[in-house]
Amino acid sequence: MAQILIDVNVLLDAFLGRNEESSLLIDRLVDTGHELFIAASMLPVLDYFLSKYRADKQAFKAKFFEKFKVVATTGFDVLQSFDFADGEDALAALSFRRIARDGIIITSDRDFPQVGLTVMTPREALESSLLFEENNDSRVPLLDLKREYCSLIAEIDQAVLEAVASAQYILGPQVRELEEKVASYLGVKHCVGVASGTDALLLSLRALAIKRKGQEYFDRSDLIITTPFTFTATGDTILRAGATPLFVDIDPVTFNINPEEVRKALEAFPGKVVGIVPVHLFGLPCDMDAIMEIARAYNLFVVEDVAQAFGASWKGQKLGSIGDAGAFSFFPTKNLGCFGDGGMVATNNGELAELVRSLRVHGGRDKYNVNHIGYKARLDTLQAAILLVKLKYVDEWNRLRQDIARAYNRNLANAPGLVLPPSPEDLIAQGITHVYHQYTVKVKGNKRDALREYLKSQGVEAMVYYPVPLHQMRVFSGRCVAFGNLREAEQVAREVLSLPIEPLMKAYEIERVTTVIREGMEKLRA
Amino acid sequence: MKVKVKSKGSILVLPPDLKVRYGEVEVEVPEEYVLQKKGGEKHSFCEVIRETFGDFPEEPLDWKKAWHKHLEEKYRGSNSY
Repeated sequence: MAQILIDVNVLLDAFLGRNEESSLLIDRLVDTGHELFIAASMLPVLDYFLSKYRADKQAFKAKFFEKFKVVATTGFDVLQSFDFADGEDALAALSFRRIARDGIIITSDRDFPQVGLTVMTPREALESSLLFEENNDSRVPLLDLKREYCSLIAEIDQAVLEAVASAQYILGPQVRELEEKVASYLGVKHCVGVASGTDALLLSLRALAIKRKGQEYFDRSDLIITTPFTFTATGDTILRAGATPLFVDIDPVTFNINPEEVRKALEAFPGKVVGIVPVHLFGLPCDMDAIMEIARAYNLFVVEDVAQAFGASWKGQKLGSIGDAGAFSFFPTKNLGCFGDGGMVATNNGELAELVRSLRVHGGRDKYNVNHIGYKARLDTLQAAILLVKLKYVDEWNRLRQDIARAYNRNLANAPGLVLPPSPEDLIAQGITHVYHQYTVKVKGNKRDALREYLKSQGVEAMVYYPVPLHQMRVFSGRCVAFGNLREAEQVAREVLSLPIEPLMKAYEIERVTTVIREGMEKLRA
Repeated sequence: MKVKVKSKGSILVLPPDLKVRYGEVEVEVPEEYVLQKKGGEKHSFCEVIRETFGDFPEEPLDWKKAWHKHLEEKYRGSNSY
C-alpha cells in the first residue's frame, strides 16, 4: 500500500469532470485502499473552487476527508520552501515528504518539485504496476504503526501541538483527563497513569505490599502465582516487588493460566501465597470467575496483567476492573498504544490508588518529603494527549481485529497441522470478548520455525510470542518456584506463531497471509 | 450517442477531439463491468464528490492560473494604499 499525495489540480480535474483519466485514477486509488493525502497548503485552492462552483462544503468535507488525510505544514516546511522557484508546490511536497519518505506525488504539473519523492502524472499512475498490479507479492507486516498514525494524523498532530504549546509537560491536564476517561470506560473508581505497563505492574505490587503487609516490599518467602507463558515483565516485577514468582501451568487452548493448577499450587504451598497475577494473554480473558473465587477463598490479592487486553471483557466486566488492580500497557504495539512508553493502573480501591499515585512520584504526595521508596514513573503529558485521541477509536479498532480473526478462522479452517484460536462468536456466546492483540496459531508437527521461515521468504511477517517460558530464563533461575513440570507452557512455546493483525489491514493482505500459510503447510507436508 | 472506445487495461480511451461532459457519453464496456455496476448500486468516489457541487465549469480551465488570478484580484486592493 502506497502513500500518495494528489495535487489539487488533479483532484479538481476529477471532481469537476475536466479529465476522465484523473477521475478514473482517483476512483481506482480509493478502491485499491492506498493511503491518500492532500497537503494543508493546497486546501485554500480547493476551498476557493468549492465556493466558485457552489459546492455544499459540509457534504464535501464529510465525503472527501473520509478518504483523504491532511498533511500538516510546519513553519520549518515554509522556510525550506523559499529555496524553490515555486514555493507553493514545494511547500506541499516538503510537508508530504516529512511523513512519507517513500511517498508518491501525482500531479499534472511536469515541474512539480520532487524533493526526492516519486512524481507521476495521472496517466503514468494509471499505468503504474507499483500502484495497481496484483498484490500477490506484497509484504505484509505484523503491524503497521505508520498506517495507524496516518489514519488519525489530523487529530494526533493537533493533540501533540497543543500539548507542546501548553508547556505543561509533567502530569499536565491531559493525564488527568485520560485517567478519568479510562476509569469511566473500564467502570472503575480510579485510574493512575504511569510510565509503562511494567511500571503499572510494579507499582501495583509495591502498593499492595505496603497496604497488606505494612512494608515497602514483599518478603522473598511470599509467593505470587502467575503464568510462565508471558512477557518477562510479569515475572520480573514480582521479583522487583520483593516476592517470588510461583509459576503455574497454562491451559494449552487459551494459553492462559489454568485455575485448576492454581488450586493445586495453593494446596502445595499452604500459607505461602499472597496473590495471583493472571495475564490476559493475546487479548483473551482468563477465567476470572474461577480466579476471583480462589482469591477470595485464600485471601489473595489479584493484579490483572491487562497489557494485551485493553477493551476485552469477562461476562460484562471490562478486564482490569475485576481484580484488586489492573495493570495496562500503552506500548506502541498495544491495542491502545501511545508513541513511546506508557501505562495505567486501574482500581476500585482508593487507598491503593493513592499509594500508586505517590509511588509514581518518588514515593510521596509531597515529593520534597516522601513516605515510600518510590519511582519516577509518570505518564507523559504528550503520551496522554495521543492516547486521548486513540481512546475514541479503540472499540472500533478492536472490532476490526475481531473481523480479521474471523477471516483468518474462516480461511484457515481445516488447514492441516494448524490449531486456530477461538472465534469471536464462540467466545461471545460465553460472555467473553477477545480483542485479539495477537492472532496466535499453534503449528503442530515441529514445523513452526520452518513455516515462519517460509512466510518470511514470501514477505509475510510472523512472530513467536513467546519462545522461552519464564521459568527457563536465567534471570529466574534460583529466584522462582515452578509448580509441576509446566509441560503445557513449554510445549506451546515450541508451537505458537503470531500472524499479522493490524486493525487497518486490507482484505487482500488477509488473503495473502492465509494463502501463503496454506502454501507453506502444503510444502512442509510434502 | 454510442461511442466505441478502446480498452487499454482498465483505461477507456476516448477519441481525442470528443468534447462532452462527464456522464453524457455512452460507451461500450465489458459486460461483467456493467453487471457489477448494476448489481452493486455503488457510486464511485468521484461521483459521490461530484454530487456535492452545484455548478461545473463549461470552459477549459487551468486551475493554477485561475487560482493565481483570484489571488491577484483579491490582494490588488491591499497594494493600493
